Amino acid sequence: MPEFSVEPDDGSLSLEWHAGYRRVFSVSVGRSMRLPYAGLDGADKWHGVAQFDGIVIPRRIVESIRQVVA
Amino acid sequence: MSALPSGLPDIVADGEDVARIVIFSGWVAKGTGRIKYPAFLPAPDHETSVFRKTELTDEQLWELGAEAAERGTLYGAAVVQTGVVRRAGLDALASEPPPHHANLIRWPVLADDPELQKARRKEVATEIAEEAWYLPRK
Repeated sequence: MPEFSVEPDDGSLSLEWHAGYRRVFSVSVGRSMRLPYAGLDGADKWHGVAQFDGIVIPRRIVESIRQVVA
Repeated sequence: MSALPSGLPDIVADGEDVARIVIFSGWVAKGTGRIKYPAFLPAPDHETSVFRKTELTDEQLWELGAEAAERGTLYGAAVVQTGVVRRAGLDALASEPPPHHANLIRWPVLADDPELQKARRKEVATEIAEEAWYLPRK
């Protein structure tokens, strides 16, 4: 299950999956349907923006969650 | 190198600890005390306010932090070494008054794409948060 918090810069809701040191992924949910995300998996790091249609969770976000919690 | 009103050098050294005042309980994971990345995200002015902790006692930090927290609750501080901040691509710039104050600067700015700007900042803040530790106010 993700941990929730509020981001201070724009009030977006943060959903964060943390599976250990440098194994973390988060996605921000705000007013836009474009969802900023970022992750760390050891030495790997990535970020991006995924378009959300309001129904289906974008595949890049699902894959990122799986990567850090696997 | 010159001295600031506080007596500190104007350059924040890589070995100095800087403390982000925690004013939202959600910035700290319940149970583990792990610092979450939103603690380090910048304010709308593109800077993250911190205090140079190395030469402050905890009590002095809480006194300074109470002013920063204004009327909010001061839960504690997220502490990290300045070298970690610089390796993540930011810098720490002394900014007094108040004494011992500094700002984390050089956050990515992408004015024409706020979501991508946010994503880049999340990655930087996460790298910093992973190396930070929680100093709870007692």
